[in-house]
Amino acid sequence: MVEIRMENIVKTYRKTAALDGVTLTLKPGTMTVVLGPSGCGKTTLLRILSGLLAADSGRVFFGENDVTALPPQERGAALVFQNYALWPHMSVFDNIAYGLRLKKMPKSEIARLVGEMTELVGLPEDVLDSRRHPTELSGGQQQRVALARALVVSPSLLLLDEPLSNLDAKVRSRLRVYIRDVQKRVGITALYVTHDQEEAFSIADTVVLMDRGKIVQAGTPEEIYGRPANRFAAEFIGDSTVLDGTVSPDGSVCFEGNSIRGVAVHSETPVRPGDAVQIVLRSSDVKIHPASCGPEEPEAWLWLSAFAKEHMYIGAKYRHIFHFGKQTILADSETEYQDQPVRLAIRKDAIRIYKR
Amino acid sequence: MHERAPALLKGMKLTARLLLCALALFVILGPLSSLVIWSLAEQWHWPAMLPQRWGTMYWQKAFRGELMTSFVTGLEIAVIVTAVVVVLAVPLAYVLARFRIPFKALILVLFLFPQAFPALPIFANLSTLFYRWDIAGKMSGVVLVQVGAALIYSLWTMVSVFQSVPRVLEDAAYAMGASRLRAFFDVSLPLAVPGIVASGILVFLYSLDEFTGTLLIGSPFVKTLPVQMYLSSMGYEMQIASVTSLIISIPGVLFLILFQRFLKAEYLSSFGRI
Amino acid sequence: MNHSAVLDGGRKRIWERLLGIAVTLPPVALVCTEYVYPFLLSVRSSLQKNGRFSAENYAYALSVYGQDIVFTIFVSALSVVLVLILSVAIGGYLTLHRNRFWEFLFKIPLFIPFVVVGHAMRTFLAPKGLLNSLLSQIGAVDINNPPSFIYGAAGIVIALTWKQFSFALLLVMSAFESVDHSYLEAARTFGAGTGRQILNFLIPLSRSSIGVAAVLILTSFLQNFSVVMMMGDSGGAKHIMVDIYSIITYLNDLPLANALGVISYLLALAPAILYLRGELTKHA
Repeated sequence: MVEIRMENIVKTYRKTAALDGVTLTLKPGTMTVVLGPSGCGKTTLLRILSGLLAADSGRVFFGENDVTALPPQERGAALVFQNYALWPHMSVFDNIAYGLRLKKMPKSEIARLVGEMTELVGLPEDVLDSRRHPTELSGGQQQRVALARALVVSPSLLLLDEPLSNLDAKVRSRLRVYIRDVQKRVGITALYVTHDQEEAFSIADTVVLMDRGKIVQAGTPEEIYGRPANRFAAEFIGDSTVLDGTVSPDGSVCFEGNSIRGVAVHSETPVRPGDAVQIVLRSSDVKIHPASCGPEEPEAWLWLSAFAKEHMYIGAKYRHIFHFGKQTILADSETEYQDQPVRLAIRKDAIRIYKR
Repeated sequence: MHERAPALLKGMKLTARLLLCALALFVILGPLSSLVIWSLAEQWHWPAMLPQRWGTMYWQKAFRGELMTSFVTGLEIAVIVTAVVVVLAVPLAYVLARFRIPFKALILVLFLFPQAFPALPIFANLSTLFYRWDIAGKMSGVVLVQVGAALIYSLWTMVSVFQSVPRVLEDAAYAMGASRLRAFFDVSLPLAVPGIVASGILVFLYSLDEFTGTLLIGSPFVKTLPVQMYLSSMGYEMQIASVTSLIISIPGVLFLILFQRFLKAEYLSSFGRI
Repeated sequence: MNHSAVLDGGRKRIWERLLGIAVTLPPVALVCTEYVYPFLLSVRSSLQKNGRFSAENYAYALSVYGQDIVFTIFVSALSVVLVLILSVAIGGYLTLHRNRFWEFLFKIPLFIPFVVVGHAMRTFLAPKGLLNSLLSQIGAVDINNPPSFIYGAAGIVIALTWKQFSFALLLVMSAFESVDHSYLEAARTFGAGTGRQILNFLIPLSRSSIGVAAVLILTSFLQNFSVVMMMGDSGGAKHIMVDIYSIITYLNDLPLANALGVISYLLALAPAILYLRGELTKHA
């Protein structure tokens, strides 16, 4: 397995930069997940890496080789598509074997490899029966066939383009674990594109967050979640709430009459009293306590007083809605609070404040 | 690892592609340019590649002679045929599209009959019938024959057009008290106008280009341009025939150029039979 | 329910029924009188010889015109095969590499009527026509003894193929374009070039459309009149439409013409029947 490198890739579509100078390195044998809102360029990145799309400028390296001008099969990239793209007029066996047949491998060798790969992706042997066609299989099984088809040609890079988006939730969570498992067992370098954060965090070695054609942050799932690099990252990751506040004369931040001390304001220019700021926090970081609970550890925790009036039952917990002036903070809890004063506790190191 | 193709191989590939392109151009445009050249050839002796003398003499000759009468005759027939076909096909198409008619499939297939079987033997027998009814050799005979064959073009297009008009629009009219007839005229018909126009154009072009029926039923009195052209070509009047050919082709090519973007396969497939 | 309302409802429905019939009858009657009736007449006439029922006309037709029947089938089959090969190859290429210029150019023959094609080919392929004069310039053809293309099978095949290739291209490309792009992309990622994409994917996934195109075009060749009249008179075998016309015009023997005509009906039906049979056994 070789290191895969993209250097300064630029791709423009009609004056908008789909990719604006993207540089990325994939370490051998790792699973890199590219995450971002639609239009951020993640699919374009995947297609350029695969060789299906040519960049306007920049280079792609597989190991020492400059593969920028090469098509997918010649550079050793294999794709798994969102809609599986299994050929309906060919049997399951022929689908998987196609790439090998094009390489003119002997029949016995092909049969052996296809058999091995089918076992590896967890499909029963009878799926290779000559009359079994992809349309007879379930969505999850079809995606396994697509995976087998991609892996059987021993690629240097496996690219997965939102492979699980077409499947229902249960199948999705099961299959993503399986895909990760196969990737580790084979030891192949993989790039996985998705918009589902939970999926990204659960399988990635590295998460790459993209916004509008640029890489915003790259790191382990813990780094991305815990230490978002900028406002976009903070807002995008997790269940974020964005609140408006102002800088007080004493240097603290004022939010609807409450004072937030001890949380730094991120800004490129000097911060002055009266400046408008945005406070980003996550519903999961807001804990509800009964009002009798005193404000403990005020250096580490921000305490807000509120009155519980509205909440919704969302299955595993109750989502409470607290109004502060015209603004709202959401907080989840397994206990139901209704018609009583409460205290909200928020870890200060989970709060991010940015100058507007 | 991947090697760069040697420059020679690339050069050969390029030459092969250029040759293929030239061949394709030649094949498509060759016969047509032959027509154009012949129409402008006042003097052309073998083996010169191009006429010795160019001129529009034959164009002028053609317009002064029988060509104009044939042109006008063909135009008249085409207009009448189109009108009759539209009047007959549109209501029938509406009925077929909206109501459950017994033998609906059979009826639609029936109109395919003229296209399914060779026209010549059928017309040969038909002309004896027409003689008995005294419409052979007359414009009315030719019109009738063309209408029968062209109905299918209009019918199949209009059935799918009416099926695509949302039923709810007509239902809204009923709900307000309109009769079926009124709903048809006030709601369905106006919405179907583009389809009517398109199929009308198809029928018009079909009629202008129609040959076999006009030849068998219309001769020797009713001559349209295709018949005229056939006669002059077989009589080795190459220039006149070429002029006539070009005139016949103009409406079709005009249609192609103007409606390039809107041409759907369903409409175009009718041209495979002209 | 109001009694009179029921009556009114019934009356209205009868009205509508009558209107529906009034609208359906004229066109149906027209086509039946003009096409179905003469068709039946021709069948009856073909079985008459000297006022009595006999199959002599058929025997005569088969023996005298048998060669022409074979010629007709041969020329039509060869043309349709050429049309299919060309339209599939070019259609496949153009689907994978869109090119508006070529797509427009190849649409042109579609709009040139058969009659004009006939004459155009006469001028183009004649012994002293444009093709030969061009070839003689490059020395491929002897000036004093130019070959004559137009008389016979070659001319007919060229003319028919030229015209209907355009139609076939239209049908084939519309089928190819409806093939899901992701299938082709996936194929490309495994190394399939243009040729393989056409052979392994576009064609198998468009089988029935290609079949329909083949049937339609083959039938149009078997029935063709204008082109074969203008192109096939080399004194050798002829297309049976030419024969039918000659019998009517020169021999004035309608029963014989009709016998040959009925044979031509059967020929015209054959491709459709074969195709339907193929489709039915596939689904069985």
